[in-house]
Amino acid sequence: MLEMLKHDFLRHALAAAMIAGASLSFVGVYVILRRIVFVGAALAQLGAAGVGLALLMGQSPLLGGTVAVFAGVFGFILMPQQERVVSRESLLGATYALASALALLFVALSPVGEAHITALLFGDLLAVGHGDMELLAAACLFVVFIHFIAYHAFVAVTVDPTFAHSVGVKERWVNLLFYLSLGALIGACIRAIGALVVFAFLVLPPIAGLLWAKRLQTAFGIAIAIALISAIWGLWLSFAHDLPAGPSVVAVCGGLTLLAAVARWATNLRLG
Amino acid sequence: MSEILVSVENVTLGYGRKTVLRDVTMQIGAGEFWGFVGPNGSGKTTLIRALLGLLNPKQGKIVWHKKVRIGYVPQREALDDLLPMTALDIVLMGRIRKGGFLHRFSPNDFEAANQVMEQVGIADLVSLPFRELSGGQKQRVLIARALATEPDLLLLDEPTNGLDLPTEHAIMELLRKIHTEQGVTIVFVTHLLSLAANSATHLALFHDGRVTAGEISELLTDQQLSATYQTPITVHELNGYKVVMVQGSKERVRNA
Repeated sequence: MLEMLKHDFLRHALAAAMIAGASLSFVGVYVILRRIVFVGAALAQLGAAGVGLALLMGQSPLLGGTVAVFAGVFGFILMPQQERVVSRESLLGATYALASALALLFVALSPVGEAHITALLFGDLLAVGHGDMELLAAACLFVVFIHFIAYHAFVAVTVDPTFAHSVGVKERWVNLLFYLSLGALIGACIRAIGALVVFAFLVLPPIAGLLWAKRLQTAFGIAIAIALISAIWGLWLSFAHDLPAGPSVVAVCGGLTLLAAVARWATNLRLG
Repeated sequence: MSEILVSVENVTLGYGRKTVLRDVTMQIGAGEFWGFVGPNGSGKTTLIRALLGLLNPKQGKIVWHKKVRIGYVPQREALDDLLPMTALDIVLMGRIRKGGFLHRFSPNDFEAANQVMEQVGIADLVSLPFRELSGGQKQRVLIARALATEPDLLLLDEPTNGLDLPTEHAIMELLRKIHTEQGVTIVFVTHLLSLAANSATHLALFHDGRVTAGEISELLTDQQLSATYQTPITVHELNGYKVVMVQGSKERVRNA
C-alpha cells in the first residue's frame, strides 16, 4: 500500500477517488431516499456525452461535462410534475439511452478516437493532475458545504415535501438547489472517475448505509466510509495487479455493498 | 361565529384540464373542529392542498384573514419506510420553522419536541426508528410533529385510515383533547361520516365535485344528508354515539 503512495500520479488518483467517492456517496443517500436513482444515471451519462462532445470540438472536457449535466438538471426540473402521456421515468430512460449512445459516438468521431471510450465510462483516475485534483476538491467541498448549511431543509424536503412547505421551507428552491448541487458534483467528477464510477458511488455506498443505519447521520457515515474504503482498496488492487483503476474501485464498492446486504439479511434472519 | 381564519370564496380546483371541485364556498373559524367527509377521489385532499398553498384555485380565491400557523399531518404512507429516522427526528422537523433555511436545532427545540411527544403519549418512543412503529404510533408521531410547530390550525389528512377500531378511537380522543385543551382549530379528512359526526363541530361534505359545508347541527339531519347524497339517509343515536345509515334492505344498509 505504501509503495503505491510513492508515485505522484497515484497519490493524486487516490485523493481524487476518495474526495469524489465521499461526496457522491454523501449526496447519494438523498438520491436513494428521493427514489431518483435514474436521474443520477441519466445525469452521469449526459456528463459523459458532454465530455465526448468537448473532445470532438477540442474544448475543455470539464466544461463540456458540466454544461451537459446542468442542461440535464434544468430539463429535469422543467419536466411537468403531472404525468400525462409519458412518465418522467420513461423520459429519464430515453435520456439515459440517448446520452450513452451520443457519448460513444462523439468520442469515436473525435480526433483522439476510440482510445478514450474506456476513459469516458470509467474515467481516467491515473491521469488526474494536481490542478484537476484541486478543482475537483474545490467543487466537492462547495457542494458538501451547501448541504451542510441547508441540511435540515434538504432533509425536510426529502422526507416530506408537503410538510416542509407547511412550515415555510421553500421546497421548490430547495429542490432546485439540491439538483444543482447534484449536477455540479457529477459535472466535477465525471472527467476524473467516469460515468459508471460516478453512478456506482451515487448508489452503492448509500444502499449499504441505508440498510444498516437507524438514523440519517449514521447512513451518511456508513456510505462515506464504504466509498473511502472502496477508493483505497480498489486503487491498491489496480496498482498491485495491474488492473484498470475505475472498474477495480467499482468492484470493491459493489463487493462491500453486497456484503452489507448479506450481513443485514443474515441479521434479520437471526433476529426473526 | 368565532373569528374567521380563512374564507374559501367560490373556489374551483383541479389539476391540468381536470376539475376536481367546483364553486366551493366556506369559512373556517378559530376554535372550530371540521370534518371533511367524502369518498376517495372526491377532492378532500385537493382542498387541503389548496389551503396549504400547494395548489392555486382555477377560479375564486382563498383568503387568510390573519397569519395562521398550520400544523400539517399527512397520511402515514407519505413517509417512506426507507427513512432511517427515529420518532424524535421526525418530531424535530416541526421546529424547522423557528430558524428557517439555515436552522440548527437548539436545546429549546429538543425540549419542545420531547414535551409534545409526552403530550400525545409517545414519550417512550423517542429513540425508536419511525419505520418500526405501528400505524397508531406513527400517527401519534406525525401529530406530535405538527404540534411541535405550535399551530393555530391543525390539518390532518385521513388520520385514522387503516387503523383498527380501538386505535381509531384513541386518535380521535387525542384530537378532541388537543381541540378542547389547547383551543387549536382542527380540520381532519375522513371518508367515514360517522367518525366526523361524533367529533366535529362543522362538516364539509364532498360529493359529485361539490362541497356542502356548515355547522354539524344543520347538516347532520336526515333531510339534509338525503338531499346532499340523493339517497335516503337517517341519523340515529346509540348510547350517545351518532350512527349514520343508508336506508333500504339489510344488504344495502351500511355506515355512510
